[in-house]
Parts: sequence; structure tokens; C-alpha cells
Amino acid sequence: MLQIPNYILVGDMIEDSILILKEKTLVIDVNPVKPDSLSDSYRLVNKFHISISFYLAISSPAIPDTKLINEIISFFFLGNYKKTNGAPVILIFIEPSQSREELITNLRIGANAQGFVNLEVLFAEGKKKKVITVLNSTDTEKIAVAARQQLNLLTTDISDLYIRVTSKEDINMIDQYLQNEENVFRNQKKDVFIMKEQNKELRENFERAKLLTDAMQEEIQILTSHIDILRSASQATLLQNYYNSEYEILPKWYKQVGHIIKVVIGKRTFKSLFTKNIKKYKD
Amino acid sequence: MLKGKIKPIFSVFFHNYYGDDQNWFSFFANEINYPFQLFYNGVYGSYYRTRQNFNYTDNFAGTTTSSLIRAYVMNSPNKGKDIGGKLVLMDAYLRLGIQSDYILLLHDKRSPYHTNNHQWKDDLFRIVKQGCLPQVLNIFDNNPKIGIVASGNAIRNEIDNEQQSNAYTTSNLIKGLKNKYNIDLVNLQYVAGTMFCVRAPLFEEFFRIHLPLEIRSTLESGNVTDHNGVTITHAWERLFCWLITSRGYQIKGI
Repeated sequence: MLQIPNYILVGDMIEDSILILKEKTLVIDVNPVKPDSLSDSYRLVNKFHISISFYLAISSPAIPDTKLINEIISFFFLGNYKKTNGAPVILIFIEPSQSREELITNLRIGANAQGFVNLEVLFAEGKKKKVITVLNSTDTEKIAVAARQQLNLLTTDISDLYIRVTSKEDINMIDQYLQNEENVFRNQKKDVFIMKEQNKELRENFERAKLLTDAMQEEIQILTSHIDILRSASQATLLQNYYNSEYEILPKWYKQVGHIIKVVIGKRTFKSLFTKNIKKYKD
Repeated sequence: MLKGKIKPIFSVFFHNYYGDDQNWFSFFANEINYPFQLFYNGVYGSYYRTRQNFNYTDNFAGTTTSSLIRAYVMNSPNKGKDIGGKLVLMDAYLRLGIQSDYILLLHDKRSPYHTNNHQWKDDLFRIVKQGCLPQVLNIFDNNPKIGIVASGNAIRNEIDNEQQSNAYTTSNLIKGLKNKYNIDLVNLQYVAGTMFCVRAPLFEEFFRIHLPLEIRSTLESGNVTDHNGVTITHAWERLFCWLITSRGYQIKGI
């Protein structure tokens, strides 16, 4: 399907969503003010099938202390947490306010301290550029208009539909609804549909190639630094010191007995004790 | 994949940088014959992981073995090398409220800057090879004062550390960490490479007080080495053991 909607659901629905097996993007709406909201959600999302991608939505301002920030950041490490070029995605439902800014600032600092280079923050409220429109599953007409608009746009990424759902059945219903819209579009504009499909595939390939190129460049730098360490001879010195202290220091007669023991236990050929023109060590 | 309510004996914390997930998964499935949970952390942006055309996570979810109770898959930026990855896994372990008897810390060690890296890797993995795990359990059962079991060849003593002139015992860095985390350096033994089996309650107790992600935020980013001086990451390689030995437990080699 060309359109992959983001289904926004609340904590109570997570358990129900575990049974959704097809590829989905779920947005888990958590209320950090409510005790155990984050910890309960954490346990539940760990039961998702790994092909269900998800990210968090924060719906109420809470004191952004270290405990809360770490609790949110723990989600970012989960294998199926949605990331854009390595940046965890988070949706904020809070009205513009000082506490909202404080939460976002602390989240960015916390994420950065854990090695995430960036944080992709989406807003559902306010006047910033990245404000998204959230539709309700009952607004079927609005969903239809939004879906048609997106399908008819040639330049936009068409995965950005945000729909708040209240049950698993809502998700199945909207999936079916969007599929029907897509079928109509395909029948009416077959060539455009094929181009859109190709465009989607090319975008994905481009993103994969970029990721690989970036990773390759970083690895080259790492390997260069490893070569420098090996060239610095510190490893050879280490081995030489080990040899000197463990073996070289021993008396000659002791080492000679050692060679005889090697012959006895089959590690060295007997003849090699008397001549250098013969293979010394057995394979 | 979740099998009833069998209590896992082992929680395996595995940090992966070099990819090859399918083989690692088979390795654990074949080598561990006790009920275990696998906590698997892959490094995001690692070239080796990016190039693999294999969706390892789907494979984990679809495969069942007689002993694997559940696999948890994490993905983290490259911070603090395997130590950082293991702290991510410890954070998940505590948040999930999982309990097990022992935690096995492992990673796909290569150390390409070491001349004897292959031998070292073989030594470190010895504890998880078939036949060794019963021995590990036996050691823990017979001596309650053993806190860590590791491959004998990997056990070092910081006093013998000639390469860094004992910097990890005398540096301000280690002194600061020791005070902050209330760790007494009664015994300077540690397991180089941080691959060992530890009594889980000892780690749980420490990391419930000192949160894993807070420690992780202090570690260096990237593939840091300590050839040019001490690092916080390599200090924690030692502290992972010293936080156990400072409480009167010992390290035993096999």
C-alpha cells in the first residue's frame, strides 16, 4: 500500500494492538503525569511484533526531570521505535508553553547524551512548520479527502496521515478504506500510480544507499585509526615484553628440557633437535 | 515465542557491531541448553550491520528453540562500545522487571587493532560454549562467594597492567568513579573484554541505584580505544567487575 497511516492510540489499546500482525506505524499516546503510564506502555510495546513500527506521543506537560527524560529515552532504543535517519521521532500534543519547550529541550539534551544526533519532533498544536493534522477515525469524509489529496500530490511523501483510533477494528476499517481509495486511484490514473510506487521504492533505495555510504565513511576512519595503532608498534612491544618476561628470562637448561618435552608430547619432531634442515614443528 | 512462565536461568546480554545476526542467533540457540532470554543490541550506523541484507529481528521473532524464552531487540548509537550497549540492555532488563539467576555479558569482539585478537575472542567465548555452562553453574552452586565466572585467560589484574602504567588504579578518573559509585578497590581483578557470567541480583541491585542510562551518558562516543590514555568506557570495563568484588565476591576462571 502506498499510504502507511500513523495510527494514534492510547495506553489501554496497546494490549489489543499486539495482535495486529501486518506492517503498521503506531503512535502510542502517553500521559506522563499519570503514574506508571510510561512504564506500563514500555512493557506492552515490548510485546509488539517487531514489524510494527511505533513512536511516542506526549499528551500532557510533566516535569521534565532526569527520571522522566530517561524513561522516554529508553523507548528510543527499542528495535522497532521509529527513527528518521537515526533520529527518534516523537509527537507532542501539548499546547505551546514554557513547560513544552522545557520538555523538548531536555529531551534533545538527553537524547544527544545517549548518542542520538538528533530528535525528530512533530507538533500537533501550535504554529510551527511541522504541525500535523490529526484526524479521528470517525471523520471518514475528512480521511477520504486527505487520502485523495495525498494520492494526487506528486511531490509529497504520502505516508503522513495521522489518525486517532479507539479500537483495533478502527485500524482494520481505515486500512480497508485507504486500500479502496488507492484502488480507485490506481484504476483512474494507472500511470501516475505506477510512478508513485516507483518513486517510493527509489526513495527507500536512496535512503538505504545514503545510510550505507555514511556508515562506510565512518568505518574507513575507524580502520585508519586501528592501522595507526598497529603501526605504532605498541602491540609488538607488548608481545615482546610478554615473551621476555615469560620465556626469555628462563635458564638455558630449562628451555632445553622444554624442547625435549615438546618432542615427547608430539609438538616437535625428534630429528629437529639435531638439525636445522628439517621441519621443526608438526602441523 | 513466549513459553509459558518458565523462569529463565540466564539472561544473555549480547552487543553486536559486526552484523552476522543470523549466525549469532543460531549460535545462542545451539549453545545454550538452559531456559534463557536474549537481549540483543545492534549498533545503529555500523557499516557491517547496515550492509547485511537480512532482517534479523523478523528472524528472531519467527524462530523458536527449546530453551529460548524470548528475544528482545534493541538498537543503539555507537556510544561506549560494548559497555554502552550492555548498559542499554541492562536498562531494558530492569524496566521490563525481568528476573533471572545469571546474566551472561557477551559481544561480537574483534579488536582488529590487537595482534592476537582471534585467540582472545576464542578465550572469551569459552564460557558460553557447550559443556562449559554446566561447569559455570556448578561453580556458582558450590561457592556462594563467587560473583563472576569468566574464561580464565581473560581474567587480568590491573596491578599487572604494564601498558598503561597502572593508570586505571591511580588516575583521577577512576578515583572519581570509585567515590561516586561507592566502589572499594579491594581486589583489582577484572575480566578483560567484559564477557562473563554474573549473579543477576548483584547487578540488579547496583543498577537500580545507579541508572544504566545515566552511566551511559558519560561514556565516549564511537569506537574509542585507550591507547592514548585512560577512557571512561575502559574504566567501566573494570568497574563492571569491581562493583562485584568490592562487595566481597570473587571472580573465578574456567
